[in-house]
Amino acid sequence: MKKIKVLLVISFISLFTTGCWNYNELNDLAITTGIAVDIKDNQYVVSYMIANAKKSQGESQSQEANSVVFSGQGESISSAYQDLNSKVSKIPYISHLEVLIISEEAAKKGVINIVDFLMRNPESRKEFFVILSKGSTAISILETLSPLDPFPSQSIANNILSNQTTQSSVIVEEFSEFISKLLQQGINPILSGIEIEGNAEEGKNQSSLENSKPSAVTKISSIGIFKNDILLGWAEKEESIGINILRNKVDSVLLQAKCDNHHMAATLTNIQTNTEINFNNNNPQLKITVDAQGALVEINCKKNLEDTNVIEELSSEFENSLKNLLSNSISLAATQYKSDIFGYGNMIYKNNLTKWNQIKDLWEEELFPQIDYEIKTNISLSSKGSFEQTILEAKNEK
Amino acid sequence: MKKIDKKINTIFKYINQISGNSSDIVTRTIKIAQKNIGYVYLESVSSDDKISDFLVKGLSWDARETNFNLFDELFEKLQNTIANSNLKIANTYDELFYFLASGYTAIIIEGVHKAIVVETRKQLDRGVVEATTEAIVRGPKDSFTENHNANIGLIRKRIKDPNLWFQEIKIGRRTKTKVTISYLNDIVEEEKVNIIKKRLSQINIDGILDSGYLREFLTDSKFGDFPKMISSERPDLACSSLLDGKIVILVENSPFVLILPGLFVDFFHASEDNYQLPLNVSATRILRFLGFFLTILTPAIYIALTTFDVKLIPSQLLISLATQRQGVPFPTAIEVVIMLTTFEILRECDLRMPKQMGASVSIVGALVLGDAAVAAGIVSPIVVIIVAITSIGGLLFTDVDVINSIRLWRIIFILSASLLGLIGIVIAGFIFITRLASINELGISYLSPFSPFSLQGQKYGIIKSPTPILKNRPSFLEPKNKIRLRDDSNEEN
Amino acid sequence: MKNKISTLQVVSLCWQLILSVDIGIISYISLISLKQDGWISIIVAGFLGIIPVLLYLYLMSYRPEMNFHQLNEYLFGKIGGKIINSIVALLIAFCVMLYFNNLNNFITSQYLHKTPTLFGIIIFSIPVIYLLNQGLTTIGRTTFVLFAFGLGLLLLTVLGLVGQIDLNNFMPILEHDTTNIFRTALRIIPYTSFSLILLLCIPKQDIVDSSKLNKRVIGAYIISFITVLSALFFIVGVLGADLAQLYQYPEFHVLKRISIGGFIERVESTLSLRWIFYIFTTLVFGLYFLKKYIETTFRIKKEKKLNIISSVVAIILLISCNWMFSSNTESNMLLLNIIPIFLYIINLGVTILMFIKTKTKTL
Repeated sequence: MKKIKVLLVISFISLFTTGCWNYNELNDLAITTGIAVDIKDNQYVVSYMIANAKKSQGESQSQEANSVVFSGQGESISSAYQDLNSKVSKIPYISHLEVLIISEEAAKKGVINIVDFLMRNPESRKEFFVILSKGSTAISILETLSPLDPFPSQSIANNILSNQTTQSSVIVEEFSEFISKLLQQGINPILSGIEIEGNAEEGKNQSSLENSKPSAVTKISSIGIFKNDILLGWAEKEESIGINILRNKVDSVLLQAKCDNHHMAATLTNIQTNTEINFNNNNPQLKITVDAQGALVEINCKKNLEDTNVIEELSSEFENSLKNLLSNSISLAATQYKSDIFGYGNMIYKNNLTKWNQIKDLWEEELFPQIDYEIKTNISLSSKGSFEQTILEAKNEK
Repeated sequence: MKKIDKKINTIFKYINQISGNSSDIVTRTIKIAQKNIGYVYLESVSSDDKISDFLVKGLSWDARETNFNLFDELFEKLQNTIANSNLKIANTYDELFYFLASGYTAIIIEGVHKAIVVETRKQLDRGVVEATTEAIVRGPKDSFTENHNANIGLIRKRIKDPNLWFQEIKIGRRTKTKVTISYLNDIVEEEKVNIIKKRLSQINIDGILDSGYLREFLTDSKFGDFPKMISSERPDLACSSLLDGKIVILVENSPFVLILPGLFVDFFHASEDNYQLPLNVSATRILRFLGFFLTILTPAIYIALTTFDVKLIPSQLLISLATQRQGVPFPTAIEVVIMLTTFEILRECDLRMPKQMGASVSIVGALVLGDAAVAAGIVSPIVVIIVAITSIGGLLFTDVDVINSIRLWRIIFILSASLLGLIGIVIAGFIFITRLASINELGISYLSPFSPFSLQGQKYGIIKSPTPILKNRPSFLEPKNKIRLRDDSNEEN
Repeated sequence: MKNKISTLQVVSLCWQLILSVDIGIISYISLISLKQDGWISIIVAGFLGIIPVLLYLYLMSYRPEMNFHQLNEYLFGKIGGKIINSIVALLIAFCVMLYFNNLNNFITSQYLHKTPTLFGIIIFSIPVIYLLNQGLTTIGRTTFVLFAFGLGLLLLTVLGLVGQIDLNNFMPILEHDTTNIFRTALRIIPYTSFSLILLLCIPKQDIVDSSKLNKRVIGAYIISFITVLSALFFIVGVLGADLAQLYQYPEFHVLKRISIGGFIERVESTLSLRWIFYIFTTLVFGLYFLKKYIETTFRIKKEKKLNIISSVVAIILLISCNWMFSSNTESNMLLLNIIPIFLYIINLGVTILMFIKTKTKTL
């Protein structure tokens, strides 16, 4: 009986032993939702964006910024982290990380040095978004406040997600998928880039949010093309859409075309891309088929939309426009950067192992840049919106 | 055991002396056929009307009929005239006192070592009233009272089967309380009844005042956390348990009967489940199970999530939780324990408070446990919600023993969560399941129908099948007679 | 009523014994050498591994009233029986330490990575020893309840991951040649099938409904192998073979991808609790085997004394596993090469010896 009493006392005391091992009170944690990696004076600068819990118990002043950015500098990521740790009064906690921003220079130096620290940490969940910063340092992107979301990291993550459905020019890449692409053979990763439009210095202050037009906003623009783990260059907006279509990862795309020197546009949905690679005496040949359904969004020329021939003519205009878009993307990746970002080499590896083993050393440098490709697009204009006829045509008929 | 003397006066003197001239002893002598007959009764428990009633009827004697053996003649005469009372013979003073205290009148005849005792009991109880502790919406509302015979009557009038056996034992040296074991003989196995009888006969105690005293003796495990029998005030619950194949124990002077064996699933059943549509009943039972787990696990999960395993919380919630924790001086576990203790004290006050003062309790409770504690900075707002959820789940159970055992296990889970987080809860959960699985009650596992998994028993566990389909009794209670509905070809056991 | 266990509980026990190696051991063995073809070796291992199971079932029904240790003493005489029992007991003790080490590694690396391992060991041995002292009936019932919970968690896992499998991750099929597959399958069999030798410590007459036992055990074996296969399927299908090879516990990391209905996220800690249940049951049963060994060999009749001795032995075994391997790399190497050989020699060897002896004894 005495032993049970002793055990009970010991276990009751355990209620009071705070701070032992994994026990952390919530307000002792510095909850990090965004990490930025820069290079300065040949050293890594790691910045953590900490969601700042309000300091006082009562009403908080609305002037107080809700998030705080701390930075540390060092030779490698872990030494930069150590420097950072000496400045933060709470324990950094990265399980709720939402976004990792890598600056252009750091990416050009090689991404492999950055990722090992985050992968090995048992706390990190590896499901956060990775994104590149273009034209400015990664820290300033983390510091730009947004009028719509409480923290900059949230606004970036929400921006990525909404962009994926509406515009499809962004690469939604979670960290573990990015690493997976780095490891696989025959494919090179790509990442989206984000830039600041406006005055970056003023964007850090709370006062910039008080105007109806904020001083600085972050904008997701282009795609960064890698080869192995080094950033080579950027692809602009049009080519980004083409890259996404070729990877079969779009939801809907707004396609522009011309009819009689006026503009017309259609939204393409249900886009299915099929790729086939055939070998013709060790020369690879790509055959790409794209099927889509289109809905007319804007048409400014004079055409009779109630004639089926006219509809077919418009469809073929759109198809040509799409074909040009796609061939621009392929030539950018193949001839300009010589980097297989679409995964065609990976496809050969998975389907035709013996052939891949023969050509894998030549793929990146010789075979892929000179690859023959044939693109076939089929767009069926199934819907014209709520307007059955063009305005000019209707006006003339009266 | 002293035999009764022959002379009336000696007897009266002995009775007065042994009870210290107690004020409620009434002794009288009357003459019948020139012989002295004395009678004695205790006026606190005997009813005067009945006494004068039978004295007029029974003891009126024809002067002509005289015989030497007055005792036997008188006994026969009383037997013939007083048809509606108990009529017995007492041989020793112990028995005499027992009968006197039970409300009998003793008739003493000179020259014989015996006394006739006639029952003239006064009604000292409430009469059949509505149940006070168990509420029911639709169904019979009568309840057991302190009158032993009336309790047996309430069961007898519902089950009119000759196989319903009542066997009586007297327990307690000084109280000599009647304890009746009732069961349906052709359903329950003899072995189980014998086990209970053996355990009851081994009780050696001063007195039994209520059925609760018997609880510790009737089970074979020493550490009493979960109750292993149901105690109820409602006769319809007792009767439906009898029909299922359980054993009911009634104790004199106690309105609560004990139903053995009480299994884990029985705490999620209410007797009105049989009177409602089965789909609703199944949903309600699932709700009760959910309430059970909520009330045991919620504080522990909160402590584990906010201190050890923070990565389980969604990000939006995390930041608001962290904000709420600012400025609170205590560690999370202590916060939770403080609020829970306050609520338990409040609940205890509620039970003991007379009705007039009840209103101030609720006001104090709302003030203390609500915004005031939060605004003063002692606890964080989320803890108030956690305690509220815990208590709401706990209010589902009315049996006091179940509530106490839930309280105990809640504390164990909180301790283990503050020690190791989620893994601590898992370890405490292992110990909990082991504890439940190791309880055997009359040879039946406590966790039936879940653990020795019986598909047929599932109809009585959580999901309730419609009554026309319930052809058999729950097989995990091992009844002798399995078929419930009357089927002429299978009437034998 | 004291020592009965029902067939359904035995089935749930088999399931848990086989699945307890699913984390850390099987996924490591099949991914390290075969990458995306690991699932083929599991199918091969499943087919080949049924032979020892049939052997065990035959031995169990040979003499229904004896358990494993008594059977050995009956077949080989007292001294021979004691020697063989002791060898097998040593092996089982080693396996218990191995599994506990695995569990400890898992918990302290994923859940409590700052807690010293000794603390976790001591706390985790408390429920194991508590359950050990309760007796066979309670062990059976608890096993069943844990099995039911594990099943629910398994269903959630499957629901959450089925939509994310990418069949392309399995190509190219058969990148490696068949001898490699065969070798990996031979490495997997000892961990999964040979753990069923623990069933032999229950004498057959203590099992209710024992006539259906054979069919049900084989059924449980097949279904649990399908579960192991599906676990590997999910790992390779969702994560891709390259990434899965990098992680220490790929099953745990695959669970991080689950997102059901948009609100059930971040559930990897909860859903991986089922492996803790499985290893827990295996530990309890392995220690129960040792308890029976002590009871038969040293002829201890009083229950209280037996409980104390077996608890002390259990504590010593569990605590000393802290110092068993010096690092994770060393344990991985041993798991691949040395330990299966030991398991083959002792486990399979003893079983075949007993089988031959039963045949010759009847003659």
